Amino acid sequence: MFAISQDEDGTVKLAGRFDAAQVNAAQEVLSKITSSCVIDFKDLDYISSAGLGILFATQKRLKEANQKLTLKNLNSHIRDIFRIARFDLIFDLADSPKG
Amino acid sequence: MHAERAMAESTERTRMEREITRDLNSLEHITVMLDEFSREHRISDADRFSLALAIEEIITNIIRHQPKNNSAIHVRMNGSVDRVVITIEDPESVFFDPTAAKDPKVDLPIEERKPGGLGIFLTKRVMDEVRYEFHEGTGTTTLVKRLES
Repeated sequence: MFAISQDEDGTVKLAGRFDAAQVNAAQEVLSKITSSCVIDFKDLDYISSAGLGILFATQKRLKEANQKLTLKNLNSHIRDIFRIARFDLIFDLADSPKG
Repeated sequence: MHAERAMAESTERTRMEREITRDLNSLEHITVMLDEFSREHRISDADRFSLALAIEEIITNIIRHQPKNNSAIHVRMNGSVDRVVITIEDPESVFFDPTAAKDPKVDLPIEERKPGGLGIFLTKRVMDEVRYEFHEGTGTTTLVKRLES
């Protein structure tokens, strides 16, 4: 189960499992983002390279317009994957628990 | 006492297998299978996450690189006392060794960094061993994960 939604304040919330079968659903929301915003990972359990690829493409597009995504509340497993992929160089990771 | 316990544990095994269709929606079935396997074999959340990632990356690679093949993909999970071995068999396939892929340059700044190539890179990092064999038209990828003590 995967869910993506955007609050009135612009925060994008991810929930469940972001695997390769969820690319279109995620793309539909993320492709509409044109200015800096926060993505909240609090309820996201899992992400694979397919999800990382969409986040990367979105960040790259925003960066060209001097905007950016800030990611918060990544669980420890997702933080490990971000570290291995060196996505910690690409994204600001805010309010994430240690470990 | 300790010797008896060690002997009992050394014979403790969990085995599961399943055939899945070549469709990204099959990932959901693999998730259910891995969750059940992880419960039975008492695998930690961290190891379960790593296994889920590695299995997904290999299966999505097979689907992407063998588009003309309609045969089912065979997934086996085999847990012993200190490790899990996953084999993913792709029958009637052509040779494609995912382990031969070049690692992406992950230290580059975003402006210079290229998308893609992360799946196998991550798989190799979160598994202890990733092997590919091709025999009589069947490609077999083997993933080995030593379990956290």
